[in-house]
Amino acid sequence: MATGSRSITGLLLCRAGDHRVAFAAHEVVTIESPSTFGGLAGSACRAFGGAAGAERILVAASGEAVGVDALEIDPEPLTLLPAPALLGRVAGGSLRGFVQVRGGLWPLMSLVDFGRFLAPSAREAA
Amino acid sequence: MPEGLKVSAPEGLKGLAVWTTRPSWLGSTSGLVLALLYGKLTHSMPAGSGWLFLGLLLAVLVMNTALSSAQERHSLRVLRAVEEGRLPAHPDNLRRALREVRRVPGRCFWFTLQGWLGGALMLAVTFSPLADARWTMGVRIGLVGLSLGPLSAMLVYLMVVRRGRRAAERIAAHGLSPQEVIAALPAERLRLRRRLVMFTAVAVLSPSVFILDVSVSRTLSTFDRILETKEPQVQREVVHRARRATGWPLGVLAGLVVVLVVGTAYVAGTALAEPLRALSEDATRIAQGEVRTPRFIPAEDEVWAVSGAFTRMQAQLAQALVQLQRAGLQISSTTEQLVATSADQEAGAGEQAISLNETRATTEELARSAQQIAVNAESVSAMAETTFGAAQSGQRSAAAFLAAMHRMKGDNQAIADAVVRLNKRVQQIGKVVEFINEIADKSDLLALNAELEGTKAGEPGRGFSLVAAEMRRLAENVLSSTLAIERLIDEIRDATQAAVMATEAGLKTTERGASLAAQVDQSLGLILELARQTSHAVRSISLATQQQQTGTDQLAAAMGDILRVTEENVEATQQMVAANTDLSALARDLKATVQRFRVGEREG
Repeated sequence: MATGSRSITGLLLCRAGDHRVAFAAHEVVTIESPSTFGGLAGSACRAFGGAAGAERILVAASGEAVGVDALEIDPEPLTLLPAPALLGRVAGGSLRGFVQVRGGLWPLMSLVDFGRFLAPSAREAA
Repeated sequence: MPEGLKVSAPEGLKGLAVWTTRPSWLGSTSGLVLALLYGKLTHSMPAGSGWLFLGLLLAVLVMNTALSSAQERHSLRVLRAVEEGRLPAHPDNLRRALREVRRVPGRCFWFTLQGWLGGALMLAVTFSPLADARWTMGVRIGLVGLSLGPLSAMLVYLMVVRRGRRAAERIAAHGLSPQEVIAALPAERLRLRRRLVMFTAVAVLSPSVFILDVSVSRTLSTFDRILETKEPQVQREVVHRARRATGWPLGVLAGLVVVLVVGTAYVAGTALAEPLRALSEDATRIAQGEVRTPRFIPAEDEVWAVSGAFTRMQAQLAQALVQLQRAGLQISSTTEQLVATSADQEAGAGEQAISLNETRATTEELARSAQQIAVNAESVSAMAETTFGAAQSGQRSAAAFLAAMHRMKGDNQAIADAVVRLNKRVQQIGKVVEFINEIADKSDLLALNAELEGTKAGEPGRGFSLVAAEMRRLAENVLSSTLAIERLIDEIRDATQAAVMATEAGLKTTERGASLAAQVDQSLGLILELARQTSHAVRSISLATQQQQTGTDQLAAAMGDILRVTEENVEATQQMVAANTDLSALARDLKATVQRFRVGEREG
């Protein structure tokens, strides 16, 4: 365990294609389906160079939204591993760290920042 | 021929008329010389009346010569015209000339006789008064003419006859065949006997009368001189002189008369013998087998009739021999051909018998074959009947199959309709499942949001999260179930689509099957008709085969009869060959017999 790590409770373990991404539950106001979500939502798959498309839309309180293919909610407290500053900057400041859960290392993203990061591509796609 | 228009006189006829009648001068002159010699030797002329007698005799001779010449020219006027070229020498004129020449000997006889009798009569009538002689002188002159005239006329006749024959031959040589000569000179009355009697009478009576005259005249003269003297010595002297005076002169005179008579008889015999000799030569030649072209043998009376008959017989014989030779050659050739043909025919008959034997065997084999064919035809007829029944059954089966195909087509159509309805129901189920899926998805979304809220609530919301998670699992189970249902629906849809396509293909196949079944039904109908016709034809063939069998049996029997007839024909041909061989031998004998006669042209 690295120095400076902290615990986090309530994560949304999401799947974007073959990739994993996690969001903190308290950033998600509601989960919508693409058919019922009226605004623009960027697909997390685009961040990984995949095709756009999502089954569920995670909507933040400020209105940003990120589409993922599948998600699970893990209510257990998990250790948040900090991410290197370079990765944080490369990711547009949306990478909060990593969590070790279910035999894998999940990057924890900020829903608001990641939604903003994906918004231009979502507008271009629209 | 117009008068004055002359043609060239044919060679060989010139002077023929004069040459023919020239012996009349010889005969008359001989008699006249004899008469004058008689007058000289018998001293019958009164003294001093010699020149008167000669003058009267010359006048009578001139008159007789003129008259006889005119008569002879008239008798041979056609021959003279032909030989002088005043008439053409065509067959009609030649035949007329022949008839003239034929008649001229008799006419010369009468011309001579009339000259003698007329001349003697004229001399007897004129001399006695002019010479103051007794009337007995005229009677004696008449007796001399009566005795020498017929003899001279007979001599003239005989010599003219011989020349007339030569003249007739020369005329006939200018274009008349022997048959034409015979036809132109038909046999007249048969007068040979009369002529012989006349010749005998003349030959006997003329010298008798002549000698009677001499004897009577000398006797009377002697008696007259005896009576003129009464002295016996003178009378004996007169008798002695009379005997001396009637010695050798009268003997010479009698000898001359005999010579004349004998010469006339010689000429008569020659004239009679010439044609007989010619006939004898020709007959001898024919007897020796040499038959020539018949010739014209001139003759008179019965001899002419014999000559004509002989010439015709010779012509007929020559023609018959020629025909006989030709026929003999033809018969010989024909019989040889007949023998060869008969031999060929015999060989052919033998070959024919052999062939007929083979044909008979073949015919019997044919009869057996026909019987076998009849049996086979019966079998084929039964098979045709069976085929006809099978074709009928096949047509019924084809009709049933066609109906089944129609029913199958309806069933397939019903299946297709059911599958379509099933597809529609499956689509409706899909919509229901989609609706359920939407509900499950919304339930899942609600459960997810509930679980999110429970998680955000922390420990107090844990139970709520668990319930939400459980609901979410239920919703996910529903979704997975609906997903499985959707997959099943998709599979059912695919299966129904395949079923629809298969049903459509089956329907098309059924339609093709129905069409094929209809074709099969039609074909079977045609087969049925053909089978019916075949059955009928086979029955006809069977009947015909039975008739053929009957005919073949009759043919075999007829071939047996023909074979027997042919064998009899072979025997008859062998007999005919033998007969032809005999006939050929006879033909060779006939040919040899006929070839002994040589038929050719007459020499010269």
